[in-house]
Amino acid sequence: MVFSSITFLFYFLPALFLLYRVAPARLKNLVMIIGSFMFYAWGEVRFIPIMFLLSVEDYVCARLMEKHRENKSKKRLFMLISVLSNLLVLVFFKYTNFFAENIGLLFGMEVSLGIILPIGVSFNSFQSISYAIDVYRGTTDCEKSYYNYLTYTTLFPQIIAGPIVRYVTVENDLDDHLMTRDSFSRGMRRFIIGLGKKVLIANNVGLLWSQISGGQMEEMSVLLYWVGILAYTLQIYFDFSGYSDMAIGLARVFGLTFDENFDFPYISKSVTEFWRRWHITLGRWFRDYVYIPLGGNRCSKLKNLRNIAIVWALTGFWHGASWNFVLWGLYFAVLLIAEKYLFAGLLKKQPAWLSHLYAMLAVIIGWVIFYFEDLHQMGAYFKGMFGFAGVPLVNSTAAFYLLGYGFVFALAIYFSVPHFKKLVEKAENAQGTAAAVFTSLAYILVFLLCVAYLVNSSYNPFLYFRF
Amino acid sequence: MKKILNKVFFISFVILWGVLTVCNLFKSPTEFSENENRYLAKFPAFKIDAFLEGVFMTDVDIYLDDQFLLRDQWITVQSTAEYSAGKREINGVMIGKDSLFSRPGAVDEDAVSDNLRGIEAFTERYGLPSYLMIVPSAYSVENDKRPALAYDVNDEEAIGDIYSRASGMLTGIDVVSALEDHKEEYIYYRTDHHWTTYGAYLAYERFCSALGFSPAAYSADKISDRFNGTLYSSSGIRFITPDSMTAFNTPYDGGCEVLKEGNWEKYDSVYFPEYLNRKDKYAYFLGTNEAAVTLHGTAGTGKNLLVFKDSYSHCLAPMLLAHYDTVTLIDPRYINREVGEIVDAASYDDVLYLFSFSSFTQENNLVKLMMSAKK
Repeated sequence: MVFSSITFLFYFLPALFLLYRVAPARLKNLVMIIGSFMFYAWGEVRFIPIMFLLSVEDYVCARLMEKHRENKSKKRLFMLISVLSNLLVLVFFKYTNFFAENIGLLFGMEVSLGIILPIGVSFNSFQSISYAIDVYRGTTDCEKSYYNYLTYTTLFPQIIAGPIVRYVTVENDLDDHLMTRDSFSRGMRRFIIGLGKKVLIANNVGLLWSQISGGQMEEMSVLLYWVGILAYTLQIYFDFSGYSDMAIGLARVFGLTFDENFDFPYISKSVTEFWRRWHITLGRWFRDYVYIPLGGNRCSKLKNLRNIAIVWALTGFWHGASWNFVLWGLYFAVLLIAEKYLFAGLLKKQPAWLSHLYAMLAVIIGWVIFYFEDLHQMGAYFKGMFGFAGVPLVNSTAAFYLLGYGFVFALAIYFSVPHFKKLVEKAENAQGTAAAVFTSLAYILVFLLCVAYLVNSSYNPFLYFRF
Repeated sequence: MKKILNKVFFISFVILWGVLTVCNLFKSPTEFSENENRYLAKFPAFKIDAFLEGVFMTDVDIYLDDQFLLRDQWITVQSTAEYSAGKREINGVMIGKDSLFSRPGAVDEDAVSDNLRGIEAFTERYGLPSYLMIVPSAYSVENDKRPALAYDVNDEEAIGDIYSRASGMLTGIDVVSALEDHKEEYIYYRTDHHWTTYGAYLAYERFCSALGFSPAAYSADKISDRFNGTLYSSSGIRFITPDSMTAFNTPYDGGCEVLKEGNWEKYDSVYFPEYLNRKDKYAYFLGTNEAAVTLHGTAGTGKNLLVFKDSYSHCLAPMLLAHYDTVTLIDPRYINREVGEIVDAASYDDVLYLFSFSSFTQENNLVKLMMSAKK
């Protein structure tokens, strides 16, 4: 089920809230578990048995690691069982097609296995792996109650598209997380911000991007290529960060605190900074479970280069089983290495606007690589952007769409900088009933507008669904 | 201090959300949406296969979306918001100066070739004098009513090109100049994708001069001034002045027969006033879209005309009764047989192909006339 749907907003969520509120304390987690399974099953029934088995296995392995905490080899064995089985499921569902296709190509055959990637597996497996390794390392205690563990691993706000929630961030709340008037109010406000980002901005500019990338424009121009990729740049940020906002808000309603996933990535002044601000929980996952175990930067320069390349190739590949994602990851590896070893000092000396321009340009070019799985289409789009497609620099079509989308673009750009957050904080902290009424009305208005857009539109794809 | 906001928001949001949720829960399902001209989704039957594949859940989502309360009102709110934000293209509709336009699509060369091949096969088989009339889009003709900065499209060149490609087998009738000469007049509907009866009359005059007829004088009565057409529906834009409709007065109306599910149903008139009380008022002309309609004329000319057409022909056809005793309209979208099995093709004197620019250049339905090809 997706958050931005009538089914979720007017059937699932009110029913779940009501049941959760009236359930006795002992049964609250049961309500959560059943709700989460229903939520997940709405989009993916067939994976549920595997998900269930994995949760049992991960739980048992963690308990055994704890039992054998003195016996290093046994402890290691149970960690490996848990990690490898999660990896196996991920690799099987996500990458078998890709490997089969490419091996087939080597022998000049067309292979298509048609294995369907279940929703959310990429996030789920990473979360379970982090739990197994954390317990193994002793950085977190193992969960004694399977009931609580199942609650954690199926939590519906994060089950489809993250954020990757580590056990340690919620462990203390799993026993008694409560929905109070305050948690409901704060959580739902955050949810509405996310819903607005997704429905009012991401879907909106996404429509323009699909027209431009889908070749539906009568006449292209260099400007229109840039307008298109700007639309996609905004779409992917508002789509994904909106989703994270909704997840964080929903968790908060139930008294759970998730880690933030985005920190205004588009204000970055370098690619390094961008990756500290974009999809934070994923970056941290790769840092803690891949980069540092490989030796991180506490090794020779050459090894460090290798580590960066591995981490970023994997990061790219995690985003999708296609060569362009690997390319996308390696593209960032090159930029990150260059920033670290070649022009670290140079970047700092530049005026802010210049380094900002550089970072955004690097990111935007990255999104072209990210979007086009077909390398020919990718090449054609780059040609268009840089004036090699034989189209005029500017045309009236570009002006027409800039005029039509200018307002949404302006809003989106404003919401991409921290000033917006300050505005929200100011409204949240304002004193007096009048301010409270005004702020509440603003949220309600956004909510109603989202409902209007949802009713109107069958155009409601979640970009991060293929992960 | 934060408590105040939490309290106020909680109370106001829960009341609003609760009321919406509960009202929606108890709303009885709507079967048909007049505005969208379609049946709304019904609750899907539960099947285990559909459940396992997730199709059942998707269908439930569609049902709940379709049946959400105040559907039309939400859509109006959405369109108004879009328009206010500066959008001049909503859902494939361009919003101009008190006028809506279909967003012009690109010419599909394959469709054009298919259509010409179909025409060629039919002409070879029956050898009747043939005429082709492609009606330019409102967007092309009424270029001064388009939204600001909207890109330029002119159908004239493409139509001329098609005419010259078809010149060996038929006569092309140029209606672009006829319509452009009168573009300040009311020749296309503001809220619908069709031309008005007057627009059709201008084309009829060109048809007459191509065939050497003297056209009947223009005489039409107003039948409605509250017509909100297809573009009104799909855009959700509600502030365009509703269209007024007129119907051509013909003294030769001998009723018509409509082919419905294999049977010819008889009607007393070529006009269907019952549709004036409905949303889709354009169906006043010859009713809804069917595979074949035969109009009977009382002028006693002894001549018959066969028309392959889309719905642009519906308001024009009655004008032709001054020159033909029988005018049979065939909509290639809905046929799947050789034309000779539907009507006695050889009994016609002339053949007219009458299509809007978008249907001739984007759909290849005339390819079905290949079934008439000599074996």
